[in-house]
Amino acid sequence: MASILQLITGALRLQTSTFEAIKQGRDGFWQVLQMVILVTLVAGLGGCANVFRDQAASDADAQREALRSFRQLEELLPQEAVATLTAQTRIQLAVMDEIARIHPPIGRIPSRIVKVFGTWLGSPFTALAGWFGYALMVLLVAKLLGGTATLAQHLSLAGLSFAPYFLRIVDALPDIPFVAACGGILALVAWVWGSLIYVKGVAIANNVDYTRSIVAWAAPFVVLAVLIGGLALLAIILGVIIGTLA
Amino acid sequence: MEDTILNAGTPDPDDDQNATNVEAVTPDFTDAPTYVASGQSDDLTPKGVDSPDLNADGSSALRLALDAILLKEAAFRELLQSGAPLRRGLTILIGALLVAAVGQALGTVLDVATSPPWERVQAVVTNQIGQLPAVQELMRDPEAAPVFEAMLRAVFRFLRFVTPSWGGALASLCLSPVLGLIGWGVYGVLSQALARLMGGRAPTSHFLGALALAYAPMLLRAANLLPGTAPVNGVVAWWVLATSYLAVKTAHDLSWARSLGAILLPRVVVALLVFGGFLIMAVAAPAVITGAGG
Repeated sequence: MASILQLITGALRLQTSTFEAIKQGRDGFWQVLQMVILVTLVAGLGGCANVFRDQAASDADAQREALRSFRQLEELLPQEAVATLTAQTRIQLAVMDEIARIHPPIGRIPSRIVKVFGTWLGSPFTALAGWFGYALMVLLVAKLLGGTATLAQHLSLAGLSFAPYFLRIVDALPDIPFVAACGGILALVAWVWGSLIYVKGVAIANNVDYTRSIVAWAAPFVVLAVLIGGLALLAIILGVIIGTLA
Repeated sequence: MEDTILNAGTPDPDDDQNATNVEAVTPDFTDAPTYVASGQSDDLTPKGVDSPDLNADGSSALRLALDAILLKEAAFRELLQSGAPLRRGLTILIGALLVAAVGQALGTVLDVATSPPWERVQAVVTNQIGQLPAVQELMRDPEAAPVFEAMLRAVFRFLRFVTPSWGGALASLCLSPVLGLIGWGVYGVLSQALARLMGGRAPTSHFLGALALAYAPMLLRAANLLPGTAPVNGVVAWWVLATSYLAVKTAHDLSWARSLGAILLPRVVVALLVFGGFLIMAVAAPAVITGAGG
């Protein structure tokens, strides 16, 4: 545990020696995995407060709030559209209310405990799910730019970017306005800090300069943006063609 | 402080990078397996192996699997240099698939136990949909009503299929290991063919053994035991991709780009085929439903 805490501290302080130690270490990937598990479980602790919150009731409250906000739309949208939207939301609300009253076979409270506990234990996987694919794409770009990292080295050093993730502990707390505002700021800080660690990690793992490392780190975002933009453009063109033909 | 971080900081001899860095103090592990023909092309024995470990015990299989999960190339090299890589790999693959299937099945059972019964949810939804004015109007039309009912039945049948159920638990227990084995076989044969086209030298049995070891991250799917751990499946998919890359690279001694090509192209082809299949089904489904309704 002590070594994992030291690893987190070293990563947070962007210490080159920590990055090098993980790169050269026999069990660097395992150490980083332990760190990711610890940090994400700590960050997920906030979500455990959901045991005391009825998710179905919260969802129903959100729907009621939406229903109230539709009244403001009456000035902006045609009356028929607002009426349809309202009718659909009322049905959804009725469905959610009725489903919330159905008891699961093992009872409502035990079910909630099992699900919250499961979600908490699964939080390392949730965090890793998007990260793993992203890291592999960054590795691909880094290799194209002359990177020399092995798979384990790259993933280990990129994984150090999880170190500031513990700041997201307030993310999953029940909706309290002040906490939500703090959570947003802390999430942004964690993202920026994590990105700095990521760029440094990619540079050291791949033996490339920071410019190439930044390009590798940003490339998946750019590709995604181009893909989304391209698809949107395609949809617009298709819409225009269909409209013209009709 | 770094010394503490480096408590496991011995340079990794499995690693190309580190092997270069520490070659003065460690033996050179970077050589790719060399295959010596013994008659048949697929019955090759790696050179320099004196006593192949034909009776790998469970603990050594587990160690190999854990090393593969930790992306250690040495695990793949060790498997390839053993006497029976295919058998050892298959042992690990089947074990991982069974563990994953049991985890998934138990997770489904727990999911059923902690969720509102499907039949009651369906009754609520059907009842509420029936109260929609547009639906009531539709149901008065003798031609449209049967089509709508058929579509609704099809939607519920699909939702029933994807909702956790006792039957689903049993099906995942029985089917997922079989599907996993089929996937391994299909991707294995396709990747082997591509790798050989790209200059790879590994015999099929050796490569299939290494690829079977690459499925070791499936062990992580045991986490599906708990509801809410669905993201583990996504992680495992990427993880298996990473270990499969190591399997191709180690077994065939190919460059990173060729190894990636050999592992990605078959997946792209299969994904396109599956997507095409779904597209055809999506186009044909309305006609089938309309036919059934009529």
